[in-house]
Amino acid sequence: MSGDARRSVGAAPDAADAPNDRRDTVFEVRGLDVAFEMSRGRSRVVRDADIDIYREETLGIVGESGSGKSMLASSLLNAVVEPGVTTGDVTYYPPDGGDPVSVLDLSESELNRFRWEEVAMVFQGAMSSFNPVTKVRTHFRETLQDHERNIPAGMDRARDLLESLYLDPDRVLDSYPHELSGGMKQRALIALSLILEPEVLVMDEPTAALDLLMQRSIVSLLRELQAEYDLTLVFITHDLPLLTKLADRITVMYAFNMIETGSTDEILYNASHPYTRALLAATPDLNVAVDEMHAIEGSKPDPVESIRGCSYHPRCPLADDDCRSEEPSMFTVESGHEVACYHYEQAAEAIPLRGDANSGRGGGTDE
Amino acid sequence: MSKPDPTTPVVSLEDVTVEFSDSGGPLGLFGDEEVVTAVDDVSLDIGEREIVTLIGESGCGKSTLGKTAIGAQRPTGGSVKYRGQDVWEAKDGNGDVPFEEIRRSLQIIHQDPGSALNPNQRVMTSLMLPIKRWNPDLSREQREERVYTLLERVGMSPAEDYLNRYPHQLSGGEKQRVVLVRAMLLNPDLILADEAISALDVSLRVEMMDLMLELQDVFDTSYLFISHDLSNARYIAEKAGGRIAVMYLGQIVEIGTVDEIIDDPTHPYTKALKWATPNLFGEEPDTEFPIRTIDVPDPTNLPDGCRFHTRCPEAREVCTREDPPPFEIGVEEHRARCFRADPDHEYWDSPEITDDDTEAGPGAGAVGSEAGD
Repeated sequence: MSGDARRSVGAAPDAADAPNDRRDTVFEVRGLDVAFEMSRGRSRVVRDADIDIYREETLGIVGESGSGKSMLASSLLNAVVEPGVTTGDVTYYPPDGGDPVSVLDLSESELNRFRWEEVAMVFQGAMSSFNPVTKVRTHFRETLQDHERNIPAGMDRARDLLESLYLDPDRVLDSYPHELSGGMKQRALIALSLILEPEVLVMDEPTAALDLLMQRSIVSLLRELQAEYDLTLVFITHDLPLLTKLADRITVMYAFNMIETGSTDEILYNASHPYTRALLAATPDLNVAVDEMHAIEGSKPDPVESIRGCSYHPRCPLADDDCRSEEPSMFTVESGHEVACYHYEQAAEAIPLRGDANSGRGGGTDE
Repeated sequence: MSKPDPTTPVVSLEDVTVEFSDSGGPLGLFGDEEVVTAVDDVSLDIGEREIVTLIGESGCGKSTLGKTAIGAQRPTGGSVKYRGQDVWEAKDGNGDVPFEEIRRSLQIIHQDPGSALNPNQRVMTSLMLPIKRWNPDLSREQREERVYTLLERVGMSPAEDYLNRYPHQLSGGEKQRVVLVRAMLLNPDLILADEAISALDVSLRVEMMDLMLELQDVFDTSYLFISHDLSNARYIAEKAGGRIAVMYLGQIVEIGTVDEIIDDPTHPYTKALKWATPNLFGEEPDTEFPIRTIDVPDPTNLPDGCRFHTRCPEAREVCTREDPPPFEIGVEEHRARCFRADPDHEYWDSPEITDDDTEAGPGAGAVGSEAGD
């Protein structure tokens, strides 16, 4: 796997940076809204999201806690918890030109099939995803049984998956969940989620509870699995540094809105939303001098009180009357790189970043 | 900023060992219990106004070492001294310094500020009670003034807005600030910050660390800052001119200044942690996994010799049978428990080992060349 090299600084442009118009779409999300009725009023926790997810890519969704990123992920499987209401269009395109599926219109039984066989999901709390009184083997068997799969063939696949995640298959299958360490449990859960050969794996903070070495190892393993099983990965996290080691493209969420989407290199070296830039500047990084790191000014907005105009304007150094009165729509920075900011062309100057100096490859930061 | 003064230690740990038996109690009298040595023969001085950061994987003993340093965990071997006074002698009533004073001087903030605050108490009550207890001679007005000033100082302004809230009406970052303020109100000499920023969003961590440094400046506090994240440890240690200690399976395997640990690590484990730390900018080490197995060995059955040899890419035969002592590196306080720090050690003539030679536990699959190429 040459992924790290591919993304290293100064690497030549490659497929990940190429225009996206010819790419095969797995998910098409349009006008997606997720709302909760609360005692204090209606809370829209995903607001008018539009995004395409391409086959066999890794899309990263990054945002702070409470930014709506987990809700966006859940809505891909129509799995937003009650009493949340999901509206808009989520269209899934099966491989080999099968009929498109409107995910939000699926029945309960169709969803159950869809969620394992087409799109699987791994959450942060691996510990709670396993039934504590059932051996790991039983989890695999029951999943195969429920979906009417051949059990011996399925268990062979389980062994292969566990082995490719550097686990001893027999030992893990014969264990109860509590007998495994956190890292082992998380890897076993990833193997379980792939047992029915889904096309897409959606992961919400899958490594947040794990140590650095385990996080980094799992990220490497995910890339191998992705190549081996032709997976599309959607990886949700607040950990931007980790995400940049895995994602081909990154979407940044702020206050329930998708505010910037682009290739990982574009987000790192040509970040155009003032929030994205502030986030990059606030992230501890061994390669950046400590006095170049700064906390983001202000605090995040209240989920119920909706902000008029751009949701970032109260914290933004570039905010003007336009930003305070009307929410910006998406502007194209360059092909495949979109940003919801009126002043994206001034963002680099207003919030300088360490990465700017390295943006030699067709970046848009030339003044 | 006032300079750290490592020559007058606030807390000294000397040859500290902490063992737990599987019955949960103190070390049993019967030999058949499984014993976990959470901290094994660790010596560490924390100086006046110094920040020592302690990093390592979960289960390496860093929390136990931290609790031992503030007198919250009794060591099974060695001694813990607060300004020269043995903490546990004081606890047992044989000290010159009252144990109560030691307890006030050594405070803790941990990962989950929610559990540290009483959910049924307003912020005001949570903050006033400890001052009342430790400074009974202060008037109500004086107590209130202290609380107001400090809350405003940590950016919770206007203070009266926050004082009437209950913990559930605060964000995670706000709760953690209240907990930090509460610890500071006691004017402690040392604060153990045990993964205190780990639950915060990445984007809020710098802010919280800056606050800790600001308050350190005002109160002349020392910190023992525990984290599993090297980039956070480096941030706070570098800003404060502090040190970084790396723990692995109960031992401090390397300790030194930020420059020594981040720019010039000696121990292969420190190198592995550095490799695993994702950076946004700059060159990435595009090398193979710098460990041979992903999973940490069973702490009830520690490897012989160097504890890291089962995962170490540099391990040789001598590492499987001899435990390296802390070697001095250069002239500074830089120490590493690795034979490679000694250019004359027999290590260099010792045969290299292969994966078949190591007793990696079951399930600890080797991370070989296919993993990282």
